[in-house]
Amino acid sequence: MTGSGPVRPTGSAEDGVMRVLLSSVPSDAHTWNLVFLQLALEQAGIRVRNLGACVPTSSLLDAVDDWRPDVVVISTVNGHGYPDGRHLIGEFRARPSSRSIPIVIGGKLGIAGASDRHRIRELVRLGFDAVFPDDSDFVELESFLRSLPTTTAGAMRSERGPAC
Amino acid sequence: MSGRRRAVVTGASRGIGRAVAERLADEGFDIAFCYRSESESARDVAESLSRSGARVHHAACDVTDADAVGAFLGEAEREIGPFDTLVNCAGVVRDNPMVRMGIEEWNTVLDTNLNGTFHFCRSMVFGLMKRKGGAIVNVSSVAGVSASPTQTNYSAAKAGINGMSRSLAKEVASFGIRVNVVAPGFIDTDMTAEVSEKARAKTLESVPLGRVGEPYEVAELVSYLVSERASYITGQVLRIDGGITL
Ligand code: B12
Repeated sequence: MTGSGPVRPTGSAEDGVMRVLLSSVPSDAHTWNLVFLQLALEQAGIRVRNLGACVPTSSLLDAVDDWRPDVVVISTVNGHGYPDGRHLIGEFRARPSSRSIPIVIGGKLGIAGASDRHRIRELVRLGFDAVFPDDSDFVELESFLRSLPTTTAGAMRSERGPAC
Repeated sequence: MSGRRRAVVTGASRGIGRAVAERLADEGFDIAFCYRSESESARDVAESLSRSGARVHHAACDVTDADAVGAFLGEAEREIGPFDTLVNCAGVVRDNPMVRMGIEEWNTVLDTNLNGTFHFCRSMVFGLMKRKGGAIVNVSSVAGVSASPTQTNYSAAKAGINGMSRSLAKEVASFGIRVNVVAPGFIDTDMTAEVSEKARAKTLESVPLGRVGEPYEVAELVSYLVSERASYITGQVLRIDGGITL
């Protein structure tokens, strides 16, 4: 694990463990990206609920209401990430219950390979708190999660063994 | 990879492992190394690495025990930081013709050489994946690529390392991680010092270069393979054997 100790929660967690709702976008059938992220987040001491592939936005929003995560992480690699992300964030921010929940998106967002600065800025402008194109690594996501304001004082424990 | 590099070297209190650790420290790596049991030579190695300016973590670690490997790596990472390089050198021999080979001799060699290598690769590879880069070199043997009578256990373990490494190389290539194998022939170490004078002379007859190899020569190849100079090499088993397998 990089950084110092487990990542701390931003808000709602009662037991001091940050909760991340992990999901893909409606069109994306890939799953290993989600498995990878779930493992990596769990190693960082985070509790993860993984909604899997091809998640309708309505199901994502229901899961947010049901579980009240500290952060939502969207992963998509099929190349439709920019249009799907635009649509998703519109609905996410329009709903009062998810308006103030941090949400990030990452993966192979387009099909051009290299990251498209213009479209990344666009996703941020529409409401994503951060965008992680394919040339970023997990450590950057972990640093982002660490940078979120913390409200729970309790020290956090890692839910997995040592990670190198 | 930028900044100071960090390597884990197993079986580094002597022989090839020691030469590798010293060579990498000379090249500016910080080093965590382990060995079977605490010894004078381990402290010697630690001092020698520190003299090269490396930050060093060392401890005895039973490589056959997955939990012990996890604990060693957790401690090493806390002290030194996340690693980008792994060199597996820990190995033992228990030679015997198969008709006389005990189950214990078979298991010990498989457990240390093959399972030990697997334990370190498995514990470290996810970290390398998260950081999208790194290099692994597993030290095997020419016994893993050609016949070696009285070493069926050792041959099986080393051939296992070769296969495991090739498959792992393909599994993690898209994460910028390279996995290679170095297969040494007759190298002048404690392990080969146990060979009788007669057997030694006989083996040398079949080495086209006419001499045993030195640990530093193997370390040279390992240091190349973990460096950016070898950035297009992965999944290979490179023999360093004076031509003995030709
Ligand atoms: C396996 C695979 C499939 C399998 C998926 C099986 C499964 N159960 O997942 C199948 C065969 C089903 C498949 C289907 C398709 N695939 Co496909 N698939 C792949 C392949 C070969 C490997 C993906 C994988 O498992 N990688 C391993 C995971 C761990 O890595 P990853 O996905 O790259 O994710 C990493 C990063 O992107 C990053 N990351 C991802 N999300 C996030 C989020 C955050 C916040 C952060 C920080 C990081 C991050 O972290 C991960 C680890 O580093 C890739 C090519 C490749 N080599 O990547 C193509 C690939 C993803 N597929 C592709 C395509 C086009 C498709 C199809 C559209 C093909 C088609 N015409 O039908 C369909 C998709 C259908 C759909 N509805 O989505 C393209 C996408 C194009 C692009 N984005 O540029 C790729 C890149 C192949 C290519 N080179 O063209 N695919």
